[in-house]
Amino acid sequence: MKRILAAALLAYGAQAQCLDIKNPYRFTCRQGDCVNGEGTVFDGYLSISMSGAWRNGETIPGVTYKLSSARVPGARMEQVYGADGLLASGDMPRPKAVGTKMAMFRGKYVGIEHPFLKVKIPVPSTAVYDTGFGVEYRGRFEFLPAKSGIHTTVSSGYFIFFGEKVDTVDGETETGLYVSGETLLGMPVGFMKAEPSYLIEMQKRYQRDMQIAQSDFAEIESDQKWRSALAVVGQVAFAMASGGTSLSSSMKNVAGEMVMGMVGDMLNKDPKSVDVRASAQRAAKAATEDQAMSDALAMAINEGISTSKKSQ
Amino acid sequence: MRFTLLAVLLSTLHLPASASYIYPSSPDPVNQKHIDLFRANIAKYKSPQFLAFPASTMAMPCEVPPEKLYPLIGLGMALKETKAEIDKQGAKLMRKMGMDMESDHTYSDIRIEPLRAQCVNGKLDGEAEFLVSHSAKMMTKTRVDMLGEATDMTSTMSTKNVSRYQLQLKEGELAGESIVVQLVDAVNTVEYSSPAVKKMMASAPKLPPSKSLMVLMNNSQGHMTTFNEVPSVKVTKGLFMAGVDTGVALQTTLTIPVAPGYVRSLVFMDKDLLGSSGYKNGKPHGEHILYSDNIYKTLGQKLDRQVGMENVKEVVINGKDMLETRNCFINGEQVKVATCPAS
Repeated sequence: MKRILAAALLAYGAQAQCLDIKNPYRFTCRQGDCVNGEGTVFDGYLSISMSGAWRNGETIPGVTYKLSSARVPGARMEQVYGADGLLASGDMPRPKAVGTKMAMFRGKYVGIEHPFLKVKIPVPSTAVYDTGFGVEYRGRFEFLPAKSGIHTTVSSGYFIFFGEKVDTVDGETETGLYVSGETLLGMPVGFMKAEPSYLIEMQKRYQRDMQIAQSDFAEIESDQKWRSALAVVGQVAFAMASGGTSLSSSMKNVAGEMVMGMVGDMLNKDPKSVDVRASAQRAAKAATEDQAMSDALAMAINEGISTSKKSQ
Repeated sequence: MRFTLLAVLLSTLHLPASASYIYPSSPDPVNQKHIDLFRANIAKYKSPQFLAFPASTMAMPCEVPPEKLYPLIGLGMALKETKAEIDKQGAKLMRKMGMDMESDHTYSDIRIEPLRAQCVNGKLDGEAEFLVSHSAKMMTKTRVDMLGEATDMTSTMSTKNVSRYQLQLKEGELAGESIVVQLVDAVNTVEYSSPAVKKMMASAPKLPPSKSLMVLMNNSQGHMTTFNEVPSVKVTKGLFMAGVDTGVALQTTLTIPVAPGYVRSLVFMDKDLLGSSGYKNGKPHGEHILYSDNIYKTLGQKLDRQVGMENVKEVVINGKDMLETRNCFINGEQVKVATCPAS
């Protein structure tokens, strides 16, 4: 039986950052025991397999994991994770590409907060970026998160590099500052030579994005609360419909009152301040003092909240 | 060489019996003359007789070796040495750009008939006109992840080309004005090495065969204008989902010399500017600006929520909502700078 993995993200990103990721649409256990033992996990997003020892479906700090790719069978990659569940050292492949080459970072990684995704992610610090085509960027890396991840839920950002760009085929070396365009999780990084003054432009854009993001966060939070509220409404309606003709019309009226009371709360207050469960319970209490009806409504509220949490 | 490169330009659309094109205005009078000339002669260029081989043809007025003749008539890539050099440069560029693709371009069934030509001292000289036909096959191969496994994908474009070259020559080299009219019939196929992927893609829609006309006019001082009939695609907001309106448009590219070794290329779709790019000694240099319809606004989506929009901004041009993308190049390399050099 396939097990769902909690961790085993091969590159930084989104819900990723390690540990509590149980995404059956992304990870599958292909061989062995991927929960408490030796096993091989397949990451369907990156199309990479990862073999090693697992504990509670998570990576074990200090253990070396071996990675492989069907598209580039000759690529030998290894990773070591830290106690925080983030990639600490080794290879960070960029497999979302076509062709027979694998681009990757090799080196050490640090954890940073992605302020738009509100998660911690590993990014290269002192490392080599190997394009897979004989061009290597050897030196120091920084990462500037990008805002689009708020809506795509996929981590993205800009890489900044200072050091040597070495063309191992032509034997050419250049030292300087390079930056990338916005790069999504798992995609190869395209570096372009940059002037230091360009970093000021990047910083200004980042600050603008942070300001815009505040209203995006408010919108997302409001969306989530509405989803919860509507899930409660749906559950109450379902409960009423399941009761059939045995339900008295007064019970149906009570349910209607409760629902409108809760929706009124959502419409008239700042969504940030609304606690959907408390609002629904208040509305239910105001709608009826009958214990049986109250119990039925309380059950519907709990089911609705639970359903909406599972879908988020 | 420019004819060699242009010989592989393609657009995809059936040629209507008559087309009513919308023309741009050129900021340069030489390119404007090209536009006026095209407008006056398009019916002739599209007539079947213009690209038909006559029943009887003249012999070449003197012996012209392929390495001298082929580059004049868009067949430079059919020369082994030229092809090897271009393939080598192409592979180097792909490597530096991090693109992994095998490709090959082969020529066959080459037929060259002079309609008018004369030689002076054993070299082509004066006005000359040639009809040229050939078949070509361009194959690219890469490896992709599909259905959780790696599969090799081979794309092949097979073309039948007929071209008419009206040239002015001096001692065997191009001099003065020239006009090329080319008709290309193209068929595209894609093969997959994985049987599972092959089966899945068997029911996917295929690109239909296409027939396209390209006209190129240039002088030897760097002014060049090309005309391509292309499909026009407009995204519209439907009641339930986005829609796509298709039609026919004329894509006009003006190459205008600005300074010694430096040209600016302006691309128009009908009369709307699509892009403006600078080139120094044949390499991208200076600001490259692209314009496209603001589909995000049409679909009610916000630009700042899309990925990779750091160089894109929303503009309004002639009352139309457009997206403007700006990138900077210095001697062929894309760079990130606060102010892009003018030339």
